[in-house]
Amino acid sequence: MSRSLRPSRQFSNLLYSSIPRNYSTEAPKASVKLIAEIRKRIEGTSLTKAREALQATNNDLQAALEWLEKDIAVSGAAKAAKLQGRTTGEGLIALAILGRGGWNEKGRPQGVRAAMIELNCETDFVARNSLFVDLAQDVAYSAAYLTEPSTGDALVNQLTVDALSDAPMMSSNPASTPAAISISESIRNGIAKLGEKISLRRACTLISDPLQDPTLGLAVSSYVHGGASGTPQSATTTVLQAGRMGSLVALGLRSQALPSSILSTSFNFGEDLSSLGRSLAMQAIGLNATTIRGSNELLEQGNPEAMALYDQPFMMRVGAPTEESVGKVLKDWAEERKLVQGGEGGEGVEVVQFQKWAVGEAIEETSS
Amino acid sequence: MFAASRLPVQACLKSAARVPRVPLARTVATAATRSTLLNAARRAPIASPSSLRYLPVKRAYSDAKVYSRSKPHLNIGTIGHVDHGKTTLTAAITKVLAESGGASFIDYAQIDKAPEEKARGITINAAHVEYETTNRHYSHIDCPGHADYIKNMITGAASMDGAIIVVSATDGQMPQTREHLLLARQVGIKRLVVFINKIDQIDDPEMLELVEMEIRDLLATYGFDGEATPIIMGSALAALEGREDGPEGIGRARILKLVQECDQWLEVPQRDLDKPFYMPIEGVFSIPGRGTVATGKAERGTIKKGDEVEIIGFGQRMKTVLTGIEMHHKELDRGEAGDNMGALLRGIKREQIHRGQAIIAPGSMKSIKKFVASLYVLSKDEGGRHHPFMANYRPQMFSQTCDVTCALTWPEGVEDASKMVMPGDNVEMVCSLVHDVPLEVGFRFTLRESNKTVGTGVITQILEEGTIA
Repeated sequence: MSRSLRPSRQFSNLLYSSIPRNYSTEAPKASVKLIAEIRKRIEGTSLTKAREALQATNNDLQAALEWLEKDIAVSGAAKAAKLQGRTTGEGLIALAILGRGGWNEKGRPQGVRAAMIELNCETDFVARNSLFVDLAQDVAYSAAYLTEPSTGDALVNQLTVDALSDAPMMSSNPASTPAAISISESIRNGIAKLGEKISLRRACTLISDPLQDPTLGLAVSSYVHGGASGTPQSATTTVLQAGRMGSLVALGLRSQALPSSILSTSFNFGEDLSSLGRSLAMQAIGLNATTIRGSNELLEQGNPEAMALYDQPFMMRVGAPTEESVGKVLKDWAEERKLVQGGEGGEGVEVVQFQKWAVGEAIEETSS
Repeated sequence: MFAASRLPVQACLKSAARVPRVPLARTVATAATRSTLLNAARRAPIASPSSLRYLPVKRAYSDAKVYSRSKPHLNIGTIGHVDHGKTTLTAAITKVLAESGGASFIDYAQIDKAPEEKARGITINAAHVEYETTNRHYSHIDCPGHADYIKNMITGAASMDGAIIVVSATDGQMPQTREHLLLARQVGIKRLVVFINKIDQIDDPEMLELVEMEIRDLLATYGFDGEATPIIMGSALAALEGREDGPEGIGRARILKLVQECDQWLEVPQRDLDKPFYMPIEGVFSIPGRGTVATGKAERGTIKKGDEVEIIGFGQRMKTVLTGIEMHHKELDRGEAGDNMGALLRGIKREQIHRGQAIIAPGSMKSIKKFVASLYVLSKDEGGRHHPFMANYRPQMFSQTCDVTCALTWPEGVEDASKMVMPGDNVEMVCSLVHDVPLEVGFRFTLRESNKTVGTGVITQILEEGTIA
């Protein structure tokens, strides 16, 4: 502690004689110095909790910390129950990408492993706090880490909140020790520390094993809008993002020329692909598309948001916003990179699936 | 009649940038200070096309109390964790001050259920309360979230000159207290008062000392005066319920103490009248036989006939003398902030000066080409853009009497310069003007694109001055 306890300016004129002091008869008096220490060690421990812990453990700091660790589950649950009726309209969309797909520098296909979650709280003050940001990112990381590749056709799979809540919490920070608690428990810990109702609203994953066919490719891109920063991550390939909106876009490639293209030195294929993917992820959020391809009935009304993604002008193209449609840009992109050899139909690059979420939005039953 | 009522648009117009052809600010804004105007406007039914739809229906002139300008005015707000008693404290302040006639008592429910407001077309969630101490008049806001305070600041609807941070004695400061202090910094608050609430639930004085010590440390960490900031302990609920619990009291007495500390510690912003003279030029006329007259509204300071002035903007900086002041077809010897006046300028030709330049006390202002601003980008529902934009977007910037094309870019060091700005976002961006105009930190402006307001902002930092041609 940097400063010693000193009588405060205000204090000299305070009289507490009238306030009953009953604690001294039951439990030992908690050391104020240790209370301060506990609050430094475990951020978010309330004063009364810290004191309770010290009284229960006879002012033994180590024991009190252990006591608190055990107690947080109980107090978190109690707090959660108390806040049950509150509405959570704020929060974060968190993304974790453990595998982006595409190819490594030797040209070997890589797997895709990504997850997106929405974690809600009551105010945007809490949503900006690093404890909450870390919590949201850890939930996303756990979802990406633990989920099995799906056997169905769809790439993006919605997880049920209940199933995910029971899963163990993985820490996205390799430096921290695993706490061996479930996701729902760590959310309750967050409630105990931040004093607001926190709830996990939804989660989805995008997972695929490396493709075996060399003429096929799959890569995932993301964009997060209105970002919040948590604890800085040590250098890993893992992407962790959180913000008010988030999107995941899966790009599929098919071409006989793929094996040579990806190793070609005439252009940076990997970088170009991720820039394209990122532009598409931004486009999905910015122009609010709901389908990839679709009917053109609303096209004449001149409202790009009513259009399918492929028909929208590609305004969010990084570095080169254009009025040309997304579909046309994708076609040109593939042709410029000689992916379309003319032999077989269906060669090129396409958006296989995308998912975009915004905090607090009404959930549609049929998401793309 | 006072609080938790909707704030009419014109209250905000004065301090905000003037969009051209809004006569309102001109006609209304004769008051000397922003704050007095704000309160006068809040009570008086002033019809204007843009504000009519937001005015509450029942508002008769006879309702209006006469607002005395004798006391300095201050805008403050309460910031704190949802359960720490912000709203209870606000209610308690009105209750205690109502005893001396300085407020009308507003109960918890009224503050809590304050309707959404529209300030310059922008929706803001905020409860407004007003009260008076013996020395000052306060306008007090309470917002649910960070974004609402920022919107308030940017639009100037109720920019805070000071704030009361509320912390519960049972919890102590919370992790998000940092966010509260960061917000206070961001909206430009230099001084705070801390109210440690719920002390009736803590029986150990040492615990209260700890709360105080921790908050002083945190204040210092975030650039506030940790040592001198007044910290008042009490129970807002006790004050509301009329409990005192002891000879010194924890309720009413502590609320009075809090208000007293606000009076002493929080600083009243300098009055416009006391600042150096500044008049943005609105029109330029040539009067045969007399010379060139520039018209406009003096925004601050005072000026006398025969004073030396400077005309700046558009790469110019010219010294001249004010040889005449005219208002309502009458010659005056002196003009002051709030006056709509014509200024006769010695030796200046009509072609030499333009709308958008400013007449200033020599050396008191600079003409600016590049600055950092906090922007609020209007959502689609507020009449703003439908689509996002990216860096290098070029809308028109309107501030005071000038309109200039400006390019928006991300400040240096931003993590991801290719990110986009969505309607409804609060962002910090660099505005580069195509030519320099007289502006200062704290000036508000609007961004427009094809006759549509797309954003509004406040200048936070000057990056580059114009060069004199």
